[in-house]
Amino acid sequence: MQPLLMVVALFALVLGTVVPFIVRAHNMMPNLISVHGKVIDDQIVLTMYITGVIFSLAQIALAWMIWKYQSKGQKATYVHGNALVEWASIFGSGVLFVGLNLMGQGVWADMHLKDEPKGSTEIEVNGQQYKWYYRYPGNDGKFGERSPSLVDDTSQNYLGVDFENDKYAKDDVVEGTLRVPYGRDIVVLIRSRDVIHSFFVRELRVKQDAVPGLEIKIPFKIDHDGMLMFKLAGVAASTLDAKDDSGVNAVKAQFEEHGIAVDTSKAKIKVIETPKKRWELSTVEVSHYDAKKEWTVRYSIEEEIGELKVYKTTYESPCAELCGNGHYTMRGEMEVLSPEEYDAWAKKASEDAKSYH
Amino acid sequence: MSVAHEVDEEHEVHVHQEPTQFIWKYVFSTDHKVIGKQYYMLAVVAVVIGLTLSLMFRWHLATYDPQHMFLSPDTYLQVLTMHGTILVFMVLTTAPLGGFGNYFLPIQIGAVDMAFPRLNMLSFWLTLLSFITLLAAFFVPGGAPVSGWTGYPPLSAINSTTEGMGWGQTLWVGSIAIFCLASLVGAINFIVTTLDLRARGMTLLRMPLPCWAWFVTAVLALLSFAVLFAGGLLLILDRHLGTSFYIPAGVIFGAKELNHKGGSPLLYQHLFWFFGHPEVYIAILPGMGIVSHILATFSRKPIFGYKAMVYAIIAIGGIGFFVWGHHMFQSGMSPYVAVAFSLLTMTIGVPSAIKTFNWLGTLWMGNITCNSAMLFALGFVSLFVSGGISGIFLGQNAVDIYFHDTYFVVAHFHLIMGVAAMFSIAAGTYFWFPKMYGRFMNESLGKVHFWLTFVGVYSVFIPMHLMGLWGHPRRYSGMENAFLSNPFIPAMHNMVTAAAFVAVLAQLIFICNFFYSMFKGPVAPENPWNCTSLEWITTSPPKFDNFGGVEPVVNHDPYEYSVPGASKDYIMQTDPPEAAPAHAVGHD
Amino acid sequence: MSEATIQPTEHAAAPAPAAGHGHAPAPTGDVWGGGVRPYGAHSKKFGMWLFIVSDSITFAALLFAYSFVRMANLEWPTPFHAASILKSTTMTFVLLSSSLTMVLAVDRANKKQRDKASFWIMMTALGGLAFVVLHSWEWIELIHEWVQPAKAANGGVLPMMWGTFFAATGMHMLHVTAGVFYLVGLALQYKGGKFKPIDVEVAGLYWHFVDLVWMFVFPLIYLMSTKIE
Repeated sequence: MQPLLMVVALFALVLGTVVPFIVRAHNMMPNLISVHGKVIDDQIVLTMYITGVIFSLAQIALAWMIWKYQSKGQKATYVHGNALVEWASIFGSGVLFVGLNLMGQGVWADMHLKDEPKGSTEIEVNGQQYKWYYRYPGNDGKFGERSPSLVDDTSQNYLGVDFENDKYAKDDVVEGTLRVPYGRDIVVLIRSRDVIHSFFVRELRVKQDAVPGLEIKIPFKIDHDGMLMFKLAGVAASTLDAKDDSGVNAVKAQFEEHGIAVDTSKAKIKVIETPKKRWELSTVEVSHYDAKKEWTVRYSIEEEIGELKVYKTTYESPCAELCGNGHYTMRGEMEVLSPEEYDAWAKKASEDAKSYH
Repeated sequence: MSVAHEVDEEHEVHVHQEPTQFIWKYVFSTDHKVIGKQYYMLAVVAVVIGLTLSLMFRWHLATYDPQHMFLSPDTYLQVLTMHGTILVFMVLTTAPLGGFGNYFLPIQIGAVDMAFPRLNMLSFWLTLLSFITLLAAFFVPGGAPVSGWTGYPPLSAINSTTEGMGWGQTLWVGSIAIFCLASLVGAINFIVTTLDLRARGMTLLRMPLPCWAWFVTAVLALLSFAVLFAGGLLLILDRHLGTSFYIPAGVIFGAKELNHKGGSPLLYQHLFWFFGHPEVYIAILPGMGIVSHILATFSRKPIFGYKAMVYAIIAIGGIGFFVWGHHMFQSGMSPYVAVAFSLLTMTIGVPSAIKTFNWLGTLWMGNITCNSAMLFALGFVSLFVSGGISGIFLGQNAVDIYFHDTYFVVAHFHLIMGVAAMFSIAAGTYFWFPKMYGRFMNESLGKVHFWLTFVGVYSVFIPMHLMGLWGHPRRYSGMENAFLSNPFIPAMHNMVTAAAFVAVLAQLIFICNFFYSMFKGPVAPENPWNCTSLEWITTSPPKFDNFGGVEPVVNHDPYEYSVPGASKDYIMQTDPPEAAPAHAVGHD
Repeated sequence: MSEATIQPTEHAAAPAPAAGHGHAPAPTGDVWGGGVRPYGAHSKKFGMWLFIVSDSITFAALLFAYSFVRMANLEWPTPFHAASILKSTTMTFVLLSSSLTMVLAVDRANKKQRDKASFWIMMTALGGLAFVVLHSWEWIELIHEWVQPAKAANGGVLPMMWGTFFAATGMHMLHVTAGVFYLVGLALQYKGGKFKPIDVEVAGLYWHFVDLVWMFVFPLIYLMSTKIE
């Protein structure tokens, strides 16, 4: 009875784990929008396959041993071990684990060990209990000086920027929303003014502690090819987050506004220019995965049929390091803009800031 | 320095008179068996408190409603912090090492008591003092700390960081410091006992695997708690004497710049994790030893690759000191160092894989009896695999970028460190209860306990991996965040909570069974499991001096089961040499 | 259920094999004979060594913390000057002398001269006490001269340098103070016929260790923060 139960339980465990993890590995994670994140995701999926096999084999082997050698009055075989098995497991696991690890070092080096690409857009990310503030260098492209002694929450100078005396500071923009352009190299400079926080944007595959006393640089780039469709859909994040079908309908409406028939109609053809490619969409079908807020647009270009993801334009940036009682409320927002939109916004915001100071 | 000892000093065996008064016999006892039981009982009390706390925050998460929160955000974090601290220190460190180790290490190596019985008593009472100090944190103004069991500064270093960070945090640090002292005393005792007090014939490579595990664990405790002690000391200085070890310049609280300058929050993390990682092995190594022992006994087979198992324990302990940085990949530590830590971390997979292979090898071609002890031991193997596998993700610095501080981490360390270690404690209890109390525990209740726990814990922690894959951050008391307000997350929280209630309430069955059987269980003979190690040659429970005034002599390896040509299917370690046919004596 | 779990067999019911009861022939060859201590060390001595290993790690962690923050701070004050070095050198001398008296105590104890051993232990304790007194005196002076003004000027916060100074020397002084109590207790009881030479030797180990720690603290904390004009 017990061996049978054990076998059933272990098989249930393997199925219950492997099915969601392996079969839908990619779909389990929030959409990917960064370039380097592809490598991380691939590494996660590869690790998932390898560990999935090891996990299943080990659990099934355990089940098999329990079933096959359950006590029926037989005499156990007197075996003390097998040197070959030991050495094989040493080398097998060593090569496998260390090798797997080495494969992931490239993306680590890209993020942490290399200089950021020239001409990167620099944005300061500042954590404080329980809010994120972002600073942009403004039209002069330079951050102004800052000092903790200038911090004054009542006049909303949360970062202590020296607006008074530093000419570089005057056009600096401090905002509660992180705005980033897609398709450009971006470097965030992560800081904290009180306790340790952690800057985390799931879709970017970026996480870095914000440590008081340190400034930590993290580069990333948002993949613009995938960003095409959200411009097309142009639906507000709040709509996409709605729990009913209003999100789907809004997307449909947007496509139809652009003259693209959604779902069944194949009547109209629309040509869209992107920096990389001329897309000629003939049919578009929008499907909706409720749990993930993911939008898949199936398109056909001439004879070719493919898929593009529709993304939200705003992303959550939850604090990932315990920072006090309000930790769970500490989230920032990241809004992805097209480079043109970003430039226009940055220019105007910087001018506004300058005239204000 | 060669010193001629007086002759009477050569006798290490402490021949005490058995105390007769209740207080010296059961309370301030120097008998390792009584102290072992005291440690075990302390762990039972701690586990009841710790698991109750976990049910409180699980209930909070399942019924989460911003308007009517079951726990306020600060209470949530207090409960969370105390849950972690109580379980890591007062259960996972005390029960397998202080409890079983104290009781069975001297008996398994054939000693009359620990090397320093009075220090042993001191160690227990310091642990109790530490536990009381920790619990006192609940009752001081401001309540228990909210900084998590890791207590990262500056959050934990400055009272004004958040509400409720007053005396509670100080008591927390004080409790940890006392615990460090207790562990230091205990570790010295374990190491000296293992090396000095072994019976005649008990070579190091004839010690049962639990003894090896306790020995290596004691070495880890000796070296790691010393660093935590220093780290905690500096935290107290920062909190109360105006130093700035962990507080850098320019820190702002209440819109005011603090005067502290010159410290580093990373310094604490280094000191903490230099202890913290070996601590994981302090919790799990004794479990590995106990489970190996039980697997061999109920498979009626010698342990597969005994020497490899010993070397694997030593390797895990040794490498365990050089991997602490994998807790800090995202901390702002040098990214070059992270690469080294990551590679070293992966090499720990090697001895872990050896252990798993050898456990399976021990079952292979065996004669397996699935009683409660064995079921928990088998469950341990399954959990060790499951929890170890997710470590392959987290040990890779690149992959950890995504998983760090999500529920994936929570699921990982609960499976490998929490639940697996608990399974080994349960397995050890069902196995050794007849020896400790002279009675059996109820088998049917034991099986019910196993199945509810086994299914329960997997139903708790496998979904948690999924939530981590989704990017659910740890230590969130609410789901105000847009992402978490997603219908998927509350559904998962409900499921996990339901499973957690099943798994925790199942422990009540165990506790009832334990105390009922202590008085009413069927009487156990000397060696009910036909096991080979030395605790089974003495009475159940053992006499005050363990072996009734005779010194056992060891002639055999620890796991001589099913030896071909032998008269019975096991050869006690103390059986005469001729009990094993000459050709059959195994070497691996 | 197929598995019978509580099934006492004839083996279990039988008394434990006779060979387990002490009369077996002594094992020969490479088999561990039992009762002989590895490394020829007495349990107490071995235990003290383990304590020293652990405690030196605690001190190492403190000194690591000191180095860590010192490297992170470009400006590090150098408040010690010739007079303070003279003072701390005197303290060092007193402490090292007490190591010598401890050696004498161990020697006399091994020669079974209880009174003389006890005398030298007391002398050692006296040396330790002198160190504690000198050190406390220095502390009080430093607190008046530097710490109180610095704290007052700095809103109750101690400059980093003084934090490391008091943490490291305080931890060491705690060890010396504990050692003085330990030695006085030992000396009195040893004279009264309690304890054995090994106990004196173990106490000596502790005392030498405490002295040795000072030899790390002195250059790292004092000499490296000294400026002689």
